[in-house]
Amino acid sequence: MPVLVDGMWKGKPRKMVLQANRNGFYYILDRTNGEFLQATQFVKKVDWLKGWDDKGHPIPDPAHDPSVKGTTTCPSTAGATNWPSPTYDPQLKMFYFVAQEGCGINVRDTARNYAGTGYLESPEEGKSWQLFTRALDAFTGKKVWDYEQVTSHHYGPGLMSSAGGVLFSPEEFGQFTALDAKTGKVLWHFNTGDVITASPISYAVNGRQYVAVVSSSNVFSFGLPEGGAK
Amino acid sequence: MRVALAIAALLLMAGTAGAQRRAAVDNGPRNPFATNQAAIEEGRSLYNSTCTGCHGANGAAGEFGPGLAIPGRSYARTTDSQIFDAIQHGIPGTPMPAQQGKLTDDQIWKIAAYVKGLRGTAIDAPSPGNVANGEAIFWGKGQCGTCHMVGGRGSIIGPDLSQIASLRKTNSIIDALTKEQHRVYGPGGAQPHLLTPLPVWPVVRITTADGKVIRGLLRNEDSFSLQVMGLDQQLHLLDRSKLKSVVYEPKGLMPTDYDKRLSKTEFDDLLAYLTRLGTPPEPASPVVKMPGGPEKD
Repeated sequence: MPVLVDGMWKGKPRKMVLQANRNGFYYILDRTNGEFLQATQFVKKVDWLKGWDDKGHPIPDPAHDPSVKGTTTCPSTAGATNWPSPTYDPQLKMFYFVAQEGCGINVRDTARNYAGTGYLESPEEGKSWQLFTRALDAFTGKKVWDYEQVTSHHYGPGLMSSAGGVLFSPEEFGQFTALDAKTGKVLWHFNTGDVITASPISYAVNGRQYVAVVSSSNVFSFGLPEGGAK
Repeated sequence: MRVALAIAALLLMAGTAGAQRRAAVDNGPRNPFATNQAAIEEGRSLYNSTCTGCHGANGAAGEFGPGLAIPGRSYARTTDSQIFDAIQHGIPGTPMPAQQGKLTDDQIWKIAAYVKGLRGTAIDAPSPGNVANGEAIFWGKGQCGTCHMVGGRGSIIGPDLSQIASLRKTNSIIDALTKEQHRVYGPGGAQPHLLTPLPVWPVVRITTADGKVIRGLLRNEDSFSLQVMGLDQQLHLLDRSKLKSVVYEPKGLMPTDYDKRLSKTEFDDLLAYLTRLGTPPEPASPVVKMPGGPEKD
């Protein structure tokens, strides 16, 4: 999911697009002309490509094509990240997203006329896939901190950053968690008791700020006490 | 449970037309060889020489015929007499031939019992062996009762096995006793979607802040808490922030070398006991003709 950011790139102002791609790379492109500025790997294992051409296009590795026997490829078909929304903090110049560590097995099905019809989770390392809330320095692509979402293994909900330095990071099985955007430290959590796959939102009514998230068929909305936090 | 299933089956059939409706009003004879392991074995070899060419080994589908025991598939013919009828008379309008005159009625019943066993769970075709001796091994040499419970006796650490033969296939029980990575066989035919995946409970060793060690099965966890069924048979509800360490052990608690720690006879006897833990199939119901009732076609 692309995030549009205007900022300085190597001393010059640029209109950029930042994207943690499901292929395992964090891209920075010039959104006015598509110029490739940078790509950095953001998950532990990426093995589907041989390298890059001079325009910043990846060169796929044919050894990782799907096969009848099954080819292990990292990241998996589900991607190193997927639909959960990323978020950008302009004060800290940090980019946050849900990273999915793990590999997949891609199978070519000879019974049909098209390739790569099947995919499985790779059983490597016992835990096949694991979700993390991951913070990158937005312009170097370097990891700043990581928060492991225990028992979250597939896709999961999206993120929302706030001007107050709080990152809202719900988890797949119902924990609505708030993290310190700078350090990743847990500030607060609430168990909604059901699955969360949505992104949180924030809104204000008569000057009072709320944060809401959908869990299963319920909407949970949270606000600070009248008169401000004590 | 059985009643609920029967109602579910009726509702399922009510939703489909034609052949499936037959099943709801079927009051035909029950298979005289049902659950008779020796006859089912004979049925298997008859199936292999007569049916495998089209329907595949173990009813898993072949070149010309549909699979007879495919997980998740619904079948038009589910009762003993329906299966018998399809083998005896064939299925008109399809390549399925009639076996009448080629096989005796007894032979057809044996094939039907084998097919039913493929579709059903362990209780539909219990293993041969000394059941009483198997029960003694369960509580004694096998030490199964250290973790499992049957009929209110035993331990609450592992799954309750009182209905295991109604829930799992024989192969699945054998695999659980002998293989570290065992797969759960699907339900097949008559009981679609009934078998839930085998729950996998990792073993954890937890050290609390005050140095107490708890080892047990991790029943649930999230980023902030853990729920552990301890080997002390107590459920521990733990706050992650108050623990010194949580170690996830690579292996489960269930021993998977029963084929080595027991003799062949002991293993067979234990299996004979386990494959009878459950609600046996209901006895044949008498044919009742109800005036004005649904007509048989």
